Amino acid sequence: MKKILLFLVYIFFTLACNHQKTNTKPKVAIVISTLNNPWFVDLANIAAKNVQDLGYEAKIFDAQNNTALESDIFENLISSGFNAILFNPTDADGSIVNIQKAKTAGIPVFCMDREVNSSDAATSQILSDSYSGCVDIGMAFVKELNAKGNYVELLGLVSDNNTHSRSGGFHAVVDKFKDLKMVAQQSADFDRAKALEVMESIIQANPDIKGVFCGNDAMAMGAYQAIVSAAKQKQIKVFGFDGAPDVVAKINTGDLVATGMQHPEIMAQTAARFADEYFKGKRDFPQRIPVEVEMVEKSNAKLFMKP
Amino acid sequence: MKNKKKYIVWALLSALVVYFSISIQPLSTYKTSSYGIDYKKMADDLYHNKIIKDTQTIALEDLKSKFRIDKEATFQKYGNRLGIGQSAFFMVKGSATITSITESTIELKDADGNKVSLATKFIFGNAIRDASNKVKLTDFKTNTEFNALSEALNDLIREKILPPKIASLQSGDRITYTGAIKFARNYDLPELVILSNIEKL
Repeated sequence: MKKILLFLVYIFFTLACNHQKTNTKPKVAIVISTLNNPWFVDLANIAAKNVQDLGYEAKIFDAQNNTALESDIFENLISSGFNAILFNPTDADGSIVNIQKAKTAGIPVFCMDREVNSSDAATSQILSDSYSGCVDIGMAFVKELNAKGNYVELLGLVSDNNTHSRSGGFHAVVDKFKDLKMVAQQSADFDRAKALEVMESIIQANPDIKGVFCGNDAMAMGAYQAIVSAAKQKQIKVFGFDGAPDVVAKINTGDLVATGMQHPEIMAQTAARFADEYFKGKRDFPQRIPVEVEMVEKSNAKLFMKP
Repeated sequence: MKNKKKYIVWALLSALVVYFSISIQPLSTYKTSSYGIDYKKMADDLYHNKIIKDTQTIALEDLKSKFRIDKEATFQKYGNRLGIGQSAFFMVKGSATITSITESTIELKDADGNKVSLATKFIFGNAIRDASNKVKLTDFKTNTEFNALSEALNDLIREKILPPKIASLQSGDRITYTGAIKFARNYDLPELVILSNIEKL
């Protein structure tokens, strides 16, 4: 009987130790604004892989471009004992309160790609240098259109800082050329189907458009589809932003003109590394780290094509 | 009746207090607000007191030869890259003879026959700000504010500093120049310098 009791005590402590070991392995949440866009799916998967490669548990959450849902996710993460959050915010202002909640609970938050309008909420923000990338696209746009003609701009989500920095970089150049006239500027929410719909009605109202600048590649593909349907692909030049494989392939064949190549792998890898460093005691992180965006055009598209 | 008048007076007074207590601005104004920063003044100070007087420059041909010998060491010593990326900005200088002046460039040939193009129209982005290495990202609350300084600096150079100087130049003139150049680790050396200043010799 004594032996059985001792054995049971041994089993209990062994299981208890193992249980504790499982619980002490840091858990990292990857909260993404929307998984309805392949670019963000890539960002989430690369982040998760990097976290797992570092030996931690990773779980992906989809905020569906909804700050209320994002808030619920953060509350669950805090109560479920997650140790760090790699975050792609939904709203530059609306997401700050969620970061603050995590901060109060002692959970570091590393923003990826999208910036929030606060310099002390997130532990660090690793962001695409969208402005500089779109300045380069703006210069290519002016040269391609010979600095004259009507053009259109399709914006992303208006609550996202990337929408403003991309549009800002593009207009910092294009607005200096008075013979370039913007006849329509509409949001298509970074969505391909919406861009198709919006572009179709813009073409009907403005048959003499020479170019369209889209705040991401999904919208560029939607706009291009509308342009092909209207048989205006030789007249209207399309410019995107992201570096999506289908757009790079179309730039290589001359169907689209240019895009800005973002590097989700660098942002995800850096955010995961920072979380690892945080777990090991580091607390001094740069508040914002811009990640270079490279312009892709016909002359260099092959360099960016994945085998 | 007396009470009714009293309520009206109180309502009017309350409305006045509320009216003078708040100010309503369009969202678009807020989104692009400079938060009280005078970027023109800041750009003027940056250009005249820091970039012109106190920026580390390297002769373009010297930079090219150093780049060919040890790319990484040259990036570290002379380049400036904010954040993560394959390229960096460098502030370069040189003296040469003008071979032609176009709408958007000044074409040069130096004493050794090397050709250089100076961009005079497409002066945009963060090239000059970053090549100068005189401004820190952490001095600004958001990237938008940081980029607004570049826009003011570019406007100053493109619209005020360069036009009168370029107007007095012609082919055959000997000049000195300073400007920003972007070198990327994975590309060939470019020949285009974003002009920040030019002087006739």
